[in-house]
Order: sequence, then structure tokens, then C-alpha cells
Amino acid sequence: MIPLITGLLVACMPTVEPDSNPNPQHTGDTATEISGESLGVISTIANDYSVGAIATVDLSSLAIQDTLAPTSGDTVVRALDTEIAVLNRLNTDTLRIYTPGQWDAPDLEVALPDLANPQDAKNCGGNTWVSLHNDTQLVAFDPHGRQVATADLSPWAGTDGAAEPASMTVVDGALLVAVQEIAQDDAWSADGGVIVRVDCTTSEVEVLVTASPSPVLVGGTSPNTLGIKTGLYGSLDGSVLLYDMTTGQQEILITEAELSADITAASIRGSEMVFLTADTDWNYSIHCMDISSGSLVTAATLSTFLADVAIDEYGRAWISAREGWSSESPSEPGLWLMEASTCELLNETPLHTTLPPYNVAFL
Amino acid sequence: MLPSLLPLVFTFPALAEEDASAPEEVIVEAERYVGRESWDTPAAMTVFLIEESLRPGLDLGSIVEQAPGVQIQRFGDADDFQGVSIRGSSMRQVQLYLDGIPLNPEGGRAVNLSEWPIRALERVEVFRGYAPASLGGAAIGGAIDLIPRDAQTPISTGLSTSRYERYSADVFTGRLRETTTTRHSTSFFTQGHTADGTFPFFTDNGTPYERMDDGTQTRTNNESAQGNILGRYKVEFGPTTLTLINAFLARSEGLPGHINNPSKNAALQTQRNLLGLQAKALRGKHVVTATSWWSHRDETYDDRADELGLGSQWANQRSENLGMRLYDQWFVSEFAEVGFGASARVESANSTDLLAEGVTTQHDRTVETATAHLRFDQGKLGLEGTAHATFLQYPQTDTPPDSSIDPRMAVIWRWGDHRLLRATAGHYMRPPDLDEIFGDRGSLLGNPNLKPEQGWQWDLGLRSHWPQLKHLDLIVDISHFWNAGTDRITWVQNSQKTMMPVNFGRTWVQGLEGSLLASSEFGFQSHTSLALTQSTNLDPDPAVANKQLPSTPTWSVWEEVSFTSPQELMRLAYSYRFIDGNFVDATNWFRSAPRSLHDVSIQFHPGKRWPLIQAGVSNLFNKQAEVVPQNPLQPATSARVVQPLTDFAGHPLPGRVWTLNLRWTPGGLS
Repeated sequence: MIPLITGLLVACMPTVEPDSNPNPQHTGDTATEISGESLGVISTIANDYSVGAIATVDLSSLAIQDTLAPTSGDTVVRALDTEIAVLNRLNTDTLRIYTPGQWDAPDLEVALPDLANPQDAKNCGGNTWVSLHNDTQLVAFDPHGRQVATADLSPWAGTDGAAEPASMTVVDGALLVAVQEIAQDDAWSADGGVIVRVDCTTSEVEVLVTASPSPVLVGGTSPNTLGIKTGLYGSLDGSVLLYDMTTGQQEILITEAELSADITAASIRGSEMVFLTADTDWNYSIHCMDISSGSLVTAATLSTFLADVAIDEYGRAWISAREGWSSESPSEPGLWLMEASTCELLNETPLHTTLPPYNVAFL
Repeated sequence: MLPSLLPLVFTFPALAEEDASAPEEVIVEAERYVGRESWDTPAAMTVFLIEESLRPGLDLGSIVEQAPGVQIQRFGDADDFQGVSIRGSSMRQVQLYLDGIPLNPEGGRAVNLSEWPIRALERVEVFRGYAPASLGGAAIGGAIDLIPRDAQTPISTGLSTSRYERYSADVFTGRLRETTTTRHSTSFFTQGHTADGTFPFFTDNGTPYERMDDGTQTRTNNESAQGNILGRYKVEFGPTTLTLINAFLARSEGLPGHINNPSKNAALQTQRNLLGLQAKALRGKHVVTATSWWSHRDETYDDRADELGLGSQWANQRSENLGMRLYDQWFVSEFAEVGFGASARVESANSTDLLAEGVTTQHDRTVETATAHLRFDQGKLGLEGTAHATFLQYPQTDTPPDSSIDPRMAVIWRWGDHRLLRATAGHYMRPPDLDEIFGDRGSLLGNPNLKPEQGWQWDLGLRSHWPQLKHLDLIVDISHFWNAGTDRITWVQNSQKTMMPVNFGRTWVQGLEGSLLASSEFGFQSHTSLALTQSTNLDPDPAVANKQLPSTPTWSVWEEVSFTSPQELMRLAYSYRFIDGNFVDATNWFRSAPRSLHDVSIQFHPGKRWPLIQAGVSNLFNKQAEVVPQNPLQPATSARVVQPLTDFAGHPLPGRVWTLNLRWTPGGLS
């Protein structure tokens, strides 16, 4: 009887034709000879930020494999040599490390401290280091998931008790860490900001350079030249600059004041920079800069929320577009590809994933 | 005496035909409940009588969810937030009233049922979907009216204690004084509780793939203290009745947070006062009711350490609501009734950011409504139609005014003395509230472009009563409902931890509801309610298209069996609650396992002048975990793991809890 009733009810249910979804196989004519990076790993997150999933994109064929492993509703992915680190936030602060292709279960899963808000993960000195935005230290885990080291960042903790370490990169066997020093107890205002160097063997910490407010490492033009984005969200106080670690010189590439817009994300690889800005009406723009000549091009303005940008080894910028708040008719969410050197979009419609993309890491 | 909690799925007047032929008598006799009994209304209505011998451990939420199609969304134990959803609606789509005074007019907030002590009430009326025109409003989910106690009891008091250091006490007193021309009744209720809330719960530490860190933790920062005062004064002189009511609440609570991110210090302080004045007058063939109210709510939310993930906030929120409603019920003839209603209210929300040196913002709006209602009822056949209009203005802002006209109609057909068919259909809406439009609550931003949530719905029902079935009395109620909604408002997060409400596509819900009440002359009674709900998300977003709506379980069942001994010396009761697995996310990846909870209770009452002693155990089998696929994206092949038992918002639920009650009413229980 019950199956009959259920069946009758189901028979009455309406259905909707979903928006054209992604055939997971996408092709593009942008592929070149692939020798190094071959895979993009995508953090995809539901529009309501309730859940997320890992997807991958073949950098040669642009074929997408979707909904491979579940994540929380606030997740970023980071490349760890041949593995991928999944940093879950939003009520589930964990580190998961996957081997691409083996998505049934992670090789390693570690619970991070409650409310730790992990930002970045890097392999250094045989361990995996994680920056915890709401903490005063970096933590390092061995391949078995045991916490084996910490790096003390308490001198930059401020009154809120957190140093806000965020993005990291590895240079010459040491970790470079952007310590944002945000005063969370004072409306998230700036309380300093430094780039520190952490010795992955001894865990010793030293200041490399002051960068304020709220620094983020955004790649670099060479192994010794760091790209740094500064600026608080919602105020025109930031810039993107290059820091030469050999000479200690700084070169400001662009400022938010020049653009009259907030720089929300940037990626520098070689002599190319692609960065994103947001105006007060929640419209986002994509800009490209040839760092060697200083020429600046604005490629597009979209009403989608552009969450992240990353340039792959082939000079293509991957821009994660999500449903936005702009009063304009919303643009389509998905992954936009752009030739960083020419600032031309490579796809007429974005690559789709079941859930909109949040960020991309390359292996 | 009736059992402690009797769901009056029907309340049959002696002879409906006689009532219909003498409408004025109906008015006098049924004063408050004109059109509000199951036999009179075509609405899908369930009525709960709250008696002194109410089973221990029951609160308002656990009573309301005994109605079919009603879900309570809890943030933990009985003293944490409890919101109500009806037929797959959101919590704001259900409108609550205190004796006809709106607690959340136009769905202005989700009412926390745990703020309302059940002992203050004598009756709870649940309208699923279609609600009477006299209540006003056009709530999508339905309406719940809380009717305060009015018993003429000199004094009644109770003490209660539960596991995890919960203590509560309540006192009620009611007085009646009559003269030759007037009748004065005064009632006063006060209640207070403190609760430690430190119950153990199972946790996987947020790592479903890593089993070595699973274990039991203790819920912290879950303490609460609450005090309520509810006073009512009513004076009747001739055909006129004046009622003054005041409900005050002071509440302090820790906000313990999500199971994987428990907080240590987040807290909420609440003070609320509702003052209402109602005048009802019988003038010829008219019953005119004027209701005015002033409600004030003051909340201080303190999460300076951002433990709850909504940004660092320390803010004081004050909201005021001043309104008046007039309703004229005109009995045109013995068969026909016309109703006209109008209301106006002013609403303001005032937010002070205590982190930003007391920066204060204020937003206001004015709302007017008009209701026209026509009812024809000749005993066997009844028809009614209602048009409800809502007009909203936002002074001192650029937000454009909004308006909506929502018609609804119903038919009721009675045959025999105890059977009826009923059907309703209508259009419903909920405008965005001030928080949703203007935001200004820490990380919550407003969206002035929001559209009202709207929906069409119909339902069809059958009720039947077999009063003389050998030794048994049987009452059956079956309904089918259908609800199509558009522009559902959902909060979504953008960058930098800020959240904004957006309209979120179309939804479709239908279901079957059934209720069966059986009582025998030997003291046995059984009440069963059951709901089968099918929901579909019609948003074309491929991630959610055609998926089940979150927090809308397919099956829900409630069953209570009780035995009351002769002279009511002892009462034994067993109840069972089944909630089907339901999804916590719109993409339908994470499905909670079905859960079955069992409660038992025993009651002794040696005599009328003796105290009533009650003991009960909820969640008898101490269920704290459930088995789910480790990787929900590959459920067929994935390993199975044990997952903590949580409610809809990821807050752990307590295991076994015992409760002891001692109640005493000098002169005997009512």
C-alpha cells in the first residue's frame, strides 16, 4: 500500500529541465604541449555554501571530472607536489590529503583546532605545513598525520589572539608566510602585516619584509621575486607589488586608489599578472598587466562573483566565477580561461561544474 | 478526566445544523472559538488541550510536532532554539499568535518556541496551510495560535527537574469575580528555569575518514536561564469583553555552536515584552473585535571571538512592533457571514554595533492589511472565500513600496453527524523582513531587491468520527496537500564571510497526512499521526534541480499509547517518534539517517488533594549516533561509518534524559 501511495504521489511531481549542464567533457583549442602541470583540481561549492565537492580538469583536453569527493561549504584546494590538500573550513576545520585519481577516501585526514580557519598548506622539510588564520602558529604534520612541529607567530598576534597567517610559498627550503595581523576584535581592521620566513627544520621564524595591510602572496616573476597583494576588503588601501628578496627592493605595480576599485585577487606568473577587482555594485572586473612593460588591460566586467584567479604553467588564467549579488542580470557561473599575455578570454561560455567553482590548484 | 494531552482532531458540536440555524447563540457560546473548531472550519486544523497532567518532558515544540506535517527544527536540547516548519515551509513562513495577537506578523522572524512555556497555555491551535480569516495574514506554511490558560484555579504550582541539572518551577493563579453586571477574570502565570545543558554527545571530530579521533564530548556553553510572566485580565460587561494581556520574557543563554566548532563564550541575552489589548463587542448581528498590540524585543548578541562563524559581532538589536487590527464579523443571515478586517502597524529595527563604539542604525516600515471574508454555511455545505491585501512602505529609504493581494477559498461538506469533506485553495505570500532587506547585523548584509516569497496551495481532507464503535471511540483525519512556491528567500554567503539573502527559484511540495485517535472505555488511548511529504526543488540550477528540499523528511510518524487506571490513580504512556532521513543540503548529498526516538512516562495521583507525581524518560534507548555512507557521493560502494546524531542545523541532540515533575493544585486538578 505504502509503495502504491508513494508511487502515486511521485507520479504527480513536476520536474524542471535543468540549465544546460556540463557535459563533463569539454574541449578547447587552447591546449599546447603539456609537459609539467597536467591537472587542475577545483574546489566547487554550492551557491548556498552548504556543501562542496572536488572536481578536476585535464589541462590538455579541458575535460572535467565532477563531484569526486565531498567537502565542506567553505573549502580551498592547494597543490602539494604530487598530492592535493583540501582545507575544509566552516564548522569542519580539517586537512585532507588526496592522491589525484583516488577520491574514495583521502590518504590522510587530520582535525584542525576548532575555528582554526586554515588558509594554505605546503610541503616543506618532509612535513605538511598548514597556516591557521585564527591561531598564533603554523602547524606541521608528518605523513602519518602526527603533529610534529609548530612555528611560533605569537609576536604578531595582537589583541585578538590570532596572527592571521594566510598564504604560503616555499623558497629555498624555507616557508614564506604572509602574516596578515588583522584586528578581528576591532571590526577586522589592519593591525600590521608582515612576510615571515620559517625554517622548516628548526621552525625558527624571522621577518622578511613588512607588507601592510593584510598581505597575500600571489606568485612572483622569478624564484627570488615575490608578488604581494595588500589591502583590506572594502577600502581602497591596497596594492600589488613585487618584492625582490635578493636586493630587498619593492616595486608597486598597481594600487587600488589608481583603479578606484578593490583588488580582490591576483596571480603573477612570469611577466604576466591577472587580477580581479570589485566595485561597490558588486560587479567584478578582470584585468591583465604585462609587468615588463607596465601595460594594463581590462578584459571584462562581469556581474558574477569572481572568487579566485590562478595562472597555470601555460600562461592561462583560470578565473572562478560564482553567482553574484550584482543588480545586473547575473552572468553565468563557471571557470573562465584567459590568455594572460593577450588578456583574451579563451572560452565564450565558462566551463561548468555541478557546483560553482571556488578556486583551482595545479599539479 | 481526559488524558493529559488530547489532540482534538475534531471537536464536534452537538448538532451542527442547530448551530447554523442560531448563529447568535454560536457567537455567545463559542465566543472565542467562532469558526475555530475542526467541525466548523475547512482548515486542516489540529487542536491540543494542555492539561495540568501534561506528560513530563514535553514542551511546546514537542507538542506542536505531534500534528501531522509539522517539523520542529532544534538547535540542541529542549532549551535551545526551536523553530517550526509546516508542510515543508521555512520557519518564517509560519505565523504565530498569542490569543490572536501576531508574534511575527508577515513572518517577520522565526519564532523560538522554547521561549513559550507550555504550562502558560491551555490550548494550542495548529492550522496547516489555510488559516481563518479572523487571524489575518497569508502565511505560506500556516498559523499557530497559542491560547493562554484561563482556568479558574486559585493556585496551581509545579516543580520539575531533569538530567543535566535542569530545574524549573511555575505558578499559575486565576480568579473570577462576578457582579450583577460584570464578570472579571484575572490570571497570572510565572515560570522560571535554569539549565546547565552539559549533556554528553558522540562526535567524529569532523573527520569521517579518520576513526581514531571519534569519541564522546560534553556540550559546553549550553547553559540557559529563563523567566516568563504572563498576565491576563478580562472584564465582561453585557455583550462587551475587554481583555488586557501582557507576556514578558527574560532569557540568557550560551550559544554552543555547531557540533564540530563548539563555542566557549558566544552568548545571547533576550528581553521581550508583548502587551495586547482586545475589545470584543456583540452589536446586533455584528461581532466587532479590535486588537492592538505593542511588542518590544531586545537582544544582545555577543560573539566577539567569531566562534559561530558569522564574523566577530557584539551587537544590540531592538525591534518594536506597534499595531492595531479591527475585524467585523457580520452574521447577515442564518446561513451567511461576512467579515471585514483591517490592520495597520509600524515596525522598526534598531541595531547598535557595540564593537564600533555604539554606531546605531535604524530601519522602519509600515504595513497595512485589509481582509474581506465571506462565509456561507447551511449546515451540510459551507463555502468561504477570503481576499487578503498587504501594503508595505519603507519610509526614509529608497526601497520601493510593495503590495500583494492574496485570495483564498474553501468548501466544507458534512454528511451524517460526524463526517465531512473539506477543500481549500489559495495564494500566500511573505514579504522580506527588515533584516533581509537592510541587513546591518554584523556579517549579514541586506538585499533591497528581494521579492516576497509567494505560493499557491490547495488541500483536500476527510474527517470522520465513530463515537460508538463498541468499546471504542475513533477519530480519523486524512489530508492531501499541494504547495507550489516561488522566490524562496535563502541566505547565501559571499566572500569575506558576509551573507546576503537572495530569492531562490521555485519549489513544489505535496503530501499525505493522517491522524487517528482511538480511545476505549477501559482507559486505553492511542494517538497516531503520520505524514508522507514529497518535495522538489524546481530551480533550474543543475546542482539542485529536481532534488528534495532540505530539512523536509519524506516520512514522519508520531505515536502515543497510554493507559489510565480507574479513578486516574496511575497513568502509563509510551510514545514513539520516527523522522525519516532528510537532507541537510539542497544538493542532496548529505542525508541524515532515519531516527526513531522512544519516550516513556508514569504518573501517580493518589487523590484530588494530593500532589501529582510524574516521571518520564525521553530518548529511552539513548540514541546518539547514526550509520551513514562515508563518502555520500558514492553511497553504494562507500564504507559505512558512525555519524553523530544532530538536528537540522548540525547541533548535537541529547541522549537519554529523565524528568521528574511534582505538581500540586489545592482543591484538585482542572
